Amino acid sequence: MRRTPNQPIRQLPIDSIRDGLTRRGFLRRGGSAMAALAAAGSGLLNISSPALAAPAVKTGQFVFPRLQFTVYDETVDLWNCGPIGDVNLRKKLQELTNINVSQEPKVVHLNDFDEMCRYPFVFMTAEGYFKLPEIEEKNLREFLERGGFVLADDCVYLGKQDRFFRFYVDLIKKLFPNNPMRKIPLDHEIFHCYYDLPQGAPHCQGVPHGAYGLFEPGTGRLMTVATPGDIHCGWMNRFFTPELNEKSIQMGINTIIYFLTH
Amino acid sequence: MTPLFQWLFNHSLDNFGGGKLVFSSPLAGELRFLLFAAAIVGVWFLYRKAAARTSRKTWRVILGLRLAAIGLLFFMLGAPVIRSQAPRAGGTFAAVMVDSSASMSIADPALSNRPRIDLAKEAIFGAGPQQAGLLKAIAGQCETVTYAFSDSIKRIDAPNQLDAQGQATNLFRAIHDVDAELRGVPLAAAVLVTDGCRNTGGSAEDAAKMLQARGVPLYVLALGDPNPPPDLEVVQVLAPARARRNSEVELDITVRHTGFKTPFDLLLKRGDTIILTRRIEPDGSGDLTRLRMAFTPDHEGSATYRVEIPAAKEEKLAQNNAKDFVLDLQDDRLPVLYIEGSPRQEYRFLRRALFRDPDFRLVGVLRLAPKRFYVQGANGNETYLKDGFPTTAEQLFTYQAIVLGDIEADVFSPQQLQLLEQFVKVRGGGLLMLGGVNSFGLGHYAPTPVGRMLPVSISPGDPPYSDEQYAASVVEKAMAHPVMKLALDAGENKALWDHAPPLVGITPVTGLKPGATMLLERQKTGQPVLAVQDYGAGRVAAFTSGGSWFWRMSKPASTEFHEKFWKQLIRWLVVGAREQLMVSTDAEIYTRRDPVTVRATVVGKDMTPLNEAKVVAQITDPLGNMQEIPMDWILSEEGVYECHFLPETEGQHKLAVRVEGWEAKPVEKGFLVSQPVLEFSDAGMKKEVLMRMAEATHGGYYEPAQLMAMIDAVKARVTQAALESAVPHDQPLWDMPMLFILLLGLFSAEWIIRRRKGLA
Repeated sequence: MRRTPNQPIRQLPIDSIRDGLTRRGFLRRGGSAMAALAAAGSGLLNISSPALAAPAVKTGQFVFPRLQFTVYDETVDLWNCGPIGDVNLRKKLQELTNINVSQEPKVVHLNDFDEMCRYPFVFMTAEGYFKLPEIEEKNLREFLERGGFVLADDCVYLGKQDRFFRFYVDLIKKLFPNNPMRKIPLDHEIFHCYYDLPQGAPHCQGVPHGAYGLFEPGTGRLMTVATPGDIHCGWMNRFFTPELNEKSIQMGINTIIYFLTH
Repeated sequence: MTPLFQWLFNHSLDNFGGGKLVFSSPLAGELRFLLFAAAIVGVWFLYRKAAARTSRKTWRVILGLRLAAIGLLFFMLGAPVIRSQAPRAGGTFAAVMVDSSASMSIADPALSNRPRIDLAKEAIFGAGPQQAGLLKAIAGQCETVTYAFSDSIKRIDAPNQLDAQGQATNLFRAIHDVDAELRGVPLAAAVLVTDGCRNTGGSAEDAAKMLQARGVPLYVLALGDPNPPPDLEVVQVLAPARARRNSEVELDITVRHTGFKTPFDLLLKRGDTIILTRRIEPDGSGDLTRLRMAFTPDHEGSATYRVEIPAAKEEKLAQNNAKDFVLDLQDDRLPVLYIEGSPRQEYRFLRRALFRDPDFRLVGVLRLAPKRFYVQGANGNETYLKDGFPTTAEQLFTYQAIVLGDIEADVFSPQQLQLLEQFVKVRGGGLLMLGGVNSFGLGHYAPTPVGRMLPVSISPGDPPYSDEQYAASVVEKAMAHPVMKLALDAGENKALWDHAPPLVGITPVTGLKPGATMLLERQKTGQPVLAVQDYGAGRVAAFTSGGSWFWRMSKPASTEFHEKFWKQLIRWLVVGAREQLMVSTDAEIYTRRDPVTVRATVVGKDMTPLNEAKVVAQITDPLGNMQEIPMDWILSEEGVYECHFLPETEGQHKLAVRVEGWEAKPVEKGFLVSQPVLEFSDAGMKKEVLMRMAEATHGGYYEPAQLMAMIDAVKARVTQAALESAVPHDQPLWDMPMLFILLLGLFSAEWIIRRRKGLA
């Protein structure tokens, strides 16, 4: 079911809270800080896009957690960069879909596997190379095979590299040697299931590889998606054009809708 | 002397000895006595004057002679007869029934390894001049009628007509048919020569009661060893006739291991390929072992499987070591329609569980906005789903199961809710409602047809949805329910459920409805989590949680706990689902020339029976010969068509039934034509049954060593019966010349004396 929203998504006025939501603060205060900021952010956001579905069903609350992992090179933005992007996406998800979205921030760790399995959708981002201990690699594979889903977005080091993206694709190749990630064709459902994105995942910056996916053998279902174009920064509504920001939000919503329906 | 006696008395001396004197005059005895007394008085009155004219001695002599003559005259007028018992014209009969079923071909070691049928032939027809058979022994006593029987009776008159080829033994029918055929005939005795291995028809004791009611004793000559040698036997295999592709098939198997204490193997084979092997270890508690085997068939269409125990060295009877069954695989996908109120993880994981299995065709209708639905898995004919739930029976009845997710009743029109009820009640489909804030009572289903169908009581006042995490446990009696059986072994299954991950979220309901079955309950509170019940032709389930996805995420990827549970529940729900064309045969395994009845039920897309369809059955035998038989509507049942087929060839037959003009491909199934193996099941001689039959009729039970005793008993019985059936026979005495001579002598003597004394 392809659709185009009736009204364009407005640029999100979040600059005023930018300085108050630093990476270090997020890391230090963890989830509790994120919760407080989410509440504050939602109050400051002037979003007028109408909800497309009512009534929203309150059951089976969807949680949008961030994965914590170790980045070991010299890049600036680590696993916890730009949490306001998560806040904005959750907010828009609540407004523009009938998904019952939790506005609570959540951080999960691959070394706490049982806890992580409570949140089948996980978002991860960074700029540089990262390193997973062997047990976490094993857990990631198990997580995906159980039906979990990871959206991995490259935050793009220096605005034109693809370190995180390539490393994630290589990691998946290591975990699934016979089934490496492949470029997702533009007519794939993930680009059309809620918003129609004929150009695929928006490319905000970096190397335009296009979105890659791990396709489940036998069913063709996407188990994880990697985007090289920094859509997460698009969610933050501060670096790119309004059109790119809007497309980034749409891609995020499409990915979550795809996850909940496949 | 004898001719003179016969001339004088008209009868032989024997006649007088074997009968009794009876007066056959129509005048009453009292009247005859009065007349006789009057005659005596009259004679005395007439002779009283003569007393004065002669001596008293002479008077007494002539008076005595006259009275004797008068008495003799009255005797003759009383029409005296000798009454004796004479045999009825037509004589008496004996019926001889000889078992010619296949089990009579068994050679028992206890009977010199001679086939039972040979012993039967000798007993009835004799074995040369030295040994006369029963028929010869009673030939002069009565008429005999001899029958061979198996599953029907047939008159025979020679031993070569007993072939031990009968494919079943029906003692009840044999006796019943003989009784019917000889109705009105004076049947004196019935002789039954058999091993007593009855495997079809009514009870043998009931058959004996028919003879008992007629007063006919049954003489049983029992052949065979009641204590058979060590034997392994596949007694019964219960298998579904149809199964879905990629689904597990369970077999309930009964084996007998008479006299075996050592372990042996049970094989499941298709052709020469061994699919499964199970080691059976007799525990000494009995001869029978029941077990369950499960396998996932991988063939296409129809196939014959065999459950077999390889013959052991010490076995004398190997014919009963295997049993075949035919399994048809449905290659169509089970159509399921799942409508959900909004994207949620339960939708994702349930859809994923069914989508991964090619046996299911899951069509998802997901509400993304009011009156906006995201349709997944639909084909080109299901464009109506873009507007939501189907609105006509023709559309809805395309599916076999409907899943209502977290979606409120207001989404459906009253007509759609009525259709849902018809879907379950008439079409036989399965309905499943899942927990959520907008389902059950909270979704305002209580006053709707869906509320009526649910196995749980609901009301709008039920407590709100709780998203807490909790443990659920299987109700004790439900552990063996097909839905809850995630492992074949009971202990393993219990362990699986005991260690099941918790669920997340529950919709409280008012309670369980009477007649419903609770399968899964919340620990500590006992709230229903999964309840099921039948409704009309279909089934309904209520799963009050919306968080079974947590099962999937909490179990290793290599396990199928979550997937298997949902697939089993959906499969169980659709068991009663009717197809537009359903085909059945009256059995799965036949013997040669055993008529096969093919039955087809034809309904329209709205499940109304069609009586004017042109239905054709195509049967292909193992040699590839194809035969098309038009099927006729049977008139007594709406939409039901039948035809019959007489198989001539042993082996696997293919049946394909089609409706002319329909696009749907023919419904295929198979049946097997094989040697009868039933006859060799539990083939020891049934002594107790045969003894009870004999006792019930006051006949006798005999074994081959007592053959002569049986013949004597039958002879005695038919003789006695001949006498019992005799009719009275009167031989008149009044016209015996002796009486006339005596009468003449009395009168002459009296006259001569009177002349001499001057009284005449």
